[in-house]
Amino acid sequence: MLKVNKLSVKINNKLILDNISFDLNENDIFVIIGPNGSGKTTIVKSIMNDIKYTGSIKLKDKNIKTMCISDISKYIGVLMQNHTLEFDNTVFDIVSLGRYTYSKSMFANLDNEDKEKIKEAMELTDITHLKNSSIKNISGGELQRVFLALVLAQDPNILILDEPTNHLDLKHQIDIFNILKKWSLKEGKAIISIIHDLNLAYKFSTNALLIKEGITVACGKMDEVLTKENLKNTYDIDVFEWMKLVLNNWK
Amino acid sequence: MLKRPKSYKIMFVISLIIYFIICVMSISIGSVRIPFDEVVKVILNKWFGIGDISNISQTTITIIISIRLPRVIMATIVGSSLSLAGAVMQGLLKNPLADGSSLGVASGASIGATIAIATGITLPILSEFSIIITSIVFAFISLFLVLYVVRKIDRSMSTNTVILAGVIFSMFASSISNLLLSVFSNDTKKIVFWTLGSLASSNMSKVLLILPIFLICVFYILYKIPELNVFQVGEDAAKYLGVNTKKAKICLFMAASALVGMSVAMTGNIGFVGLIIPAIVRMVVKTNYKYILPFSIITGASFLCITDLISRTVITPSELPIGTVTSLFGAVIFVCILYNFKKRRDV
Amino acid sequence: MKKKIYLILAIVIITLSIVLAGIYFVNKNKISESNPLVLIDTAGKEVKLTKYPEKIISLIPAATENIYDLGAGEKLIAVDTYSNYPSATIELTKLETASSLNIESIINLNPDIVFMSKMGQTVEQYENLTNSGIKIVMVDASSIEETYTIINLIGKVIGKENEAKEIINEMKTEFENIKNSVKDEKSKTIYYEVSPLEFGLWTSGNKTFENEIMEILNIKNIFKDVDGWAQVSEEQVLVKDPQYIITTTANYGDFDAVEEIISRENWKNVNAIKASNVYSINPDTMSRPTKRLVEGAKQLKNVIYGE
Repeated sequence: MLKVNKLSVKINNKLILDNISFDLNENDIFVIIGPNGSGKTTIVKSIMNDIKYTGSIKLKDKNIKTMCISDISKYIGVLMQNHTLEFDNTVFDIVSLGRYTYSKSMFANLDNEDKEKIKEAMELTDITHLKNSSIKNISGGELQRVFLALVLAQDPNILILDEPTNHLDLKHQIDIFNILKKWSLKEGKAIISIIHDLNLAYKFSTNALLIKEGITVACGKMDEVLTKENLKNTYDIDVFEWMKLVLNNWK
Repeated sequence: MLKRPKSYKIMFVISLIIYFIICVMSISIGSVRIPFDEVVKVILNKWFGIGDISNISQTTITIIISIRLPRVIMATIVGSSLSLAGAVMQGLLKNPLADGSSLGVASGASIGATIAIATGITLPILSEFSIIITSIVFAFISLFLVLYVVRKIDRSMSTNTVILAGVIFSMFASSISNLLLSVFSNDTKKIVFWTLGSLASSNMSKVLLILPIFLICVFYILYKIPELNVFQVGEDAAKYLGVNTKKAKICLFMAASALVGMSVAMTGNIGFVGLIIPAIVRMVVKTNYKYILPFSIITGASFLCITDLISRTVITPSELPIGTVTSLFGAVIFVCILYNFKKRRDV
Repeated sequence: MKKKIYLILAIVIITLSIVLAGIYFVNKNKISESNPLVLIDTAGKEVKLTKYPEKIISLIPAATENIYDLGAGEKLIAVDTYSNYPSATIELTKLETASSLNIESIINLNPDIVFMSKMGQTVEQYENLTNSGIKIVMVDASSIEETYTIINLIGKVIGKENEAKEIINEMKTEFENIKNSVKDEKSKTIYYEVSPLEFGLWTSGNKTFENEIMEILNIKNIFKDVDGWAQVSEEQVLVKDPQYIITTTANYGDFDAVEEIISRENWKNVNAIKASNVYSINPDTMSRPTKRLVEGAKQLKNVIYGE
């Protein structure tokens, strides 16, 4: 579905990304893992045509550079890390923004399909009971689910998530990823997710890209990428050993 | 707080009725008191050809048609424009303190208007039009200048920085305007009225000149309601949701500053309106621009009509500058509503 | 609401508002029963019009000239006997003025408006005319500034206000230019004769158009201390010894006004005559409140200062 080939990004003469390549296939959950500042968010920006890059990114064999944002947003939805909200919007209002790219009538009126999608998205993320609450009155975790619902309402083919389980308690983290897994198995869907929690990554993803300082450490199936060696090189600590140590405490 | 959309329709109809009542009141009350029924009869006759007004004096008819009616229409247009522009700027900048005055747009437009009046650059027939054009041009320049400078200083364009820059530019611009005015005219009263705004010189020609501009801007802004809604989650998220943010921002800012520029050209700088009306509307109505904008328009119009009526009658036959009245009343009303609102929220 | 419908609605409403504005501005300047034009003439009397005049009578040459200048000459149905410019006036019906004013013939012609001057007309004649329903506009001017006033007034009455403004602006510019072009010239003294010796010497003194033009041209009128058109004596001229003499007396037959002055016995030693600076000019361009005052000024300038 998405083919990234030799993606490089240079900002102020500093190479942020160097020759990144990967493929996203239908029903993949593709995670991008790496230390802070390794260029993960920059990959997202490049896919969304929000930054200058060299190399090619093809969406269903069409070059992304030739597409305008309103077309791209019909295929790809992005859930970002930070959310800035100023005014007292209701949850329903925020989720309904996901339907913007499909708007056919004036004044942001929602047709039946829009309302269906919004309802589904809110059910999936368990926020239907918050429908009329003000977003200033809900917790950080609930807000995160609201924005997830927003991007689900957008009903894209590819979901790009930047730290989707930030602020969420363990139950909701697992619930969300279960939902995402189910969603990704639908026809024509795939997910790219930037994630820090390696356990979640291990459990739910199909493919991975391990990246350090803009350079690919490993890319491919989950098992091949998340090896003891790779992780040690990337994170400068022996992740395997750490995990095993922590696991002992739970015994 | 009312949540169902159906009740908004009723609320809007009630607002419209209130607005019309205010209009009739504004036309009938003034230094000369005209009975309500005469006002209605004259308007019906002159505009729709219905009814007979042979028993009403020519003076009364002239006062209604040539003086009070244009004034009320002007108040409507200016009140709506300033409120609408304020709502748009607040949405785009995600800044509840943004409006035509606080960002320096109105003061910048004043410079343009002053220059046009002082240098007497005119097209032979429509000298008024050239004042409007220069005001709008200077409004554009001011807004883009202020936002550009803020962006350079503070990449994130935080609320405080934007307002600070706007206020400083505002003071700077009004000093230049006043300087120009005092050089070209020694009439201090005129300067005061220009600084604080006045609807006194309204006439039908001016109204008809700005009506098309007003309508174009309003129709455009209403067309962009979906975009304005999406901007609520931030510019970056808006981009990923499919909005061409650069184009939307530029066009909407242009429409908003055109509204402000046009208002300043007609009535001078009337402050506070663009700030409090959207704020009041937001408190009462949902934060979907689908509701905020129409209510801002009608509330802004009603507000300016009432304040104009007050400014005309309090020290009759003299007039208070309308900027004074809007600030006084605006501040009081705002605090009351804020208090009420907080009280209900905490319950 | 579908987007297309909204756009169509928007375009329709906006176009309507522009059309409305257009109609308003076009009709604003139309005068009618309900929107009459009310003006004050130079005698302070109110003139009220409900339509622009189609049939105009001018009893004063200045008004005649101005009406032609403003492009409404074809609306004139009759003029006074002194109206001689432009040449088209030859074709027009001529009416006697002053004491020979025939009120009945004016009434018979049924004019929409009559332009008159105080000169020679009596209050009685004015009242007789107005009582018979004739609309009169008094247009008197004795200075360049007042000339602008009557051009403006006439322009407003006949619906040529913009043309009037143009003429006035042109005149102002021309006078400025003329004034600037001679400001470095050395001032000359001049005796301006409007009536020759045999009828008693008359000159244009202060508060006349001629004098005003002379001041613009930086020329010293030796009789500036006299007001209006006044009779002066030979001795005064000889004592003041002007450098230039201008005469407006017309030449006819064998009579040449310039030669006549040069031949005056007592005047042999006058500066102007010794230097052969005696010239004749057309008085019409120097004494009528019209745009030809500019021509007159240029004429006088050429005579005094050369090209």
